[in-house]
Amino acid sequence: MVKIIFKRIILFIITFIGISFITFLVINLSPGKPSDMLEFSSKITYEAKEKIIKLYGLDKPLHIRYFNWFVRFIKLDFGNSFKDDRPVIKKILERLPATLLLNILSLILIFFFGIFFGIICAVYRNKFLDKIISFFIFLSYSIPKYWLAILCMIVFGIKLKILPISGLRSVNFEYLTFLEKCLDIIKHLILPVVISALGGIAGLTRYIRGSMIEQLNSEYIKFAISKGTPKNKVVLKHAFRNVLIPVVTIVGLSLPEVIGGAFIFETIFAYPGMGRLGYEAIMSRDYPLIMGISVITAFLTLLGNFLADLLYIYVDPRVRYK
Amino acid sequence: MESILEIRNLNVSFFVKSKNKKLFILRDINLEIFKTQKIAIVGESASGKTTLANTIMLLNDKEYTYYSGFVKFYPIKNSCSCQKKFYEIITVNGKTQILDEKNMRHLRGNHISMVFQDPFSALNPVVSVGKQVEEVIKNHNYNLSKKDIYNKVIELFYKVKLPQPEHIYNKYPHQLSGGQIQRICIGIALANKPEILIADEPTTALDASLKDTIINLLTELVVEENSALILITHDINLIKNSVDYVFILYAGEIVEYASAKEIFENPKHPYTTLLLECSVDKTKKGKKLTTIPYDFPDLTDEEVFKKCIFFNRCPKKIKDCEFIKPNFYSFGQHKVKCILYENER
Repeated sequence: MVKIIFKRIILFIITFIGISFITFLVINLSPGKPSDMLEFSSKITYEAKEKIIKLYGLDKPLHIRYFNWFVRFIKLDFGNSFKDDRPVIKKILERLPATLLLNILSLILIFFFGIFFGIICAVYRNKFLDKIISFFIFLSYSIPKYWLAILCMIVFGIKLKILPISGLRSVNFEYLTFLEKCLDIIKHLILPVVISALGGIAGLTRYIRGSMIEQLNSEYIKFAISKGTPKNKVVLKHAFRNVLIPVVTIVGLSLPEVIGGAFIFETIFAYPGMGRLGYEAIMSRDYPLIMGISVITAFLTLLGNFLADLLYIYVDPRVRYK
Repeated sequence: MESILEIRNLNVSFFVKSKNKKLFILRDINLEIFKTQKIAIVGESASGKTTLANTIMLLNDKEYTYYSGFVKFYPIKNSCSCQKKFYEIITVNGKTQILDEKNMRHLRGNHISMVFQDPFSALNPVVSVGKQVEEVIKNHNYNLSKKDIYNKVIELFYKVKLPQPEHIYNKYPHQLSGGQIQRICIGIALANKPEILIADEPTTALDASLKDTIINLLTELVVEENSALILITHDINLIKNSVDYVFILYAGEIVEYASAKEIFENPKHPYTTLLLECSVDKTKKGKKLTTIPYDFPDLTDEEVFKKCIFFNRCPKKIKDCEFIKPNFYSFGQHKVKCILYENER
């Protein structure tokens, strides 16, 4: 056990360095520079431009820049944003709560409905209930989320005027009472949460359905029935515990999305989260901020995998006693 | 003797979706089991043995299975206060009814139990074996305390001769050997002292050296618990000394049945004789083993049921075989479904 965990940690570090290096390469080699804005301005002299480029260290070769970044990163210093010179870590921490709120809520919806619909579909497979759920699942799986988001904004926000269309707070947020503040945030969250969860619910439902059907057809289920076990127990106790094993991986893999946020999606809703921050950072070639966000996302992905491995050990005795 | 299970004119067919045809898997099965009787059902693969077992337990896929005929079960256990007669399958005026799930749940694991072919896949891989044994006890005894149930499980483990029962209780199936798991399955099946234990090829997936031990354990425990045994196997030698009565099943029909002694000493149906010749035996060392040429008739084709079902493979066939469906001819308790014995009675 300890040996496995130790091995994982070593692998973790190597992968992490690899990811950060490749990300660094990709953003630095992609067309466009932070100094582009200055390039076409006639008011700034050539010397001033050179000075700025030097100030940010953009004149040094790539590997030295990566090395410098890495040395600072080890000290947990992500540098300052090119755009407003505020520390990157501070900018990220500002946006984190909003993203966490949105994505944890949507994750809860995904797992609750995904597991619920998945089990129902598997138990009533090929019957009417399964077919009708499957129809809606496929529908919501194939509809592009950004399109649906805009459509819902038009219908619920503009035509029906029951839900706000963007942001997390109303303009008059400061003047509301506590209860009204909560209600305001909930209202703002409904559309983004539901729409971002839809695709996930669809995917998970299909996944659970498939693996549940496989489990229900296995021999041990027949044996459990032959023991006189009631059907709900057979499904929930025997089959579901086996279905749970692959689901653990999905939980682990969805962790980075919880923190990283959805880039396009948050931009559409003008949602003040990490996704929009990342989008804006890329658009303005704000290298330190991009690196900060991608490194944190990479770290969380790896952490998610690591936690999934640990959870695996917990749910599957075959892994536990190897 | 008290009859506990009675099967009359049972027909079972499956709907095969891919071929859009009905597969007549069991036809006109008649058999009766008495209290503490041990019977064997012998036949080659695909002859419908497992379907017969699943039918008694009503485990076949409901959507694609059609039944007709009668399966009646008469509980005799004193400890159980349920009704004295269950119609698992009943056909009246062409309409077939099968027993509802609630009653069936009461029978399964309590009055009728089953041991499956492959022990490795019969237990849930993520639940400890002790808990899986507990389940069958809990399912049918609602007012036992936790401690009582635990003690019962340990007692069962001793009964099926598992070493260190307390130790095994917390193990998971993948940590145990096939023989050990099959012992646990037998323990589960016998936990509630059922009237009937069905063992569906209980030794097929096990090492050859274990076969006799498991069969002996089964027969021993069945006697101890006063249960009847339905042993299903393709290996006719396996059952030589362990059962009272043998039914030979071929392509979904019983072709011969008699006491075990009669079947081994005086087999009548050509299929039974061939089956005995096919089996491996020390006396046949160095000789080429007999095989039965050709394959089963197509069971989706109703034409084949109008003649003798063994017609296409029978070495002793005569002209009439193709036109007459034979009935059972009796020689005392020995019955055989072959036209050759028409005049010998």
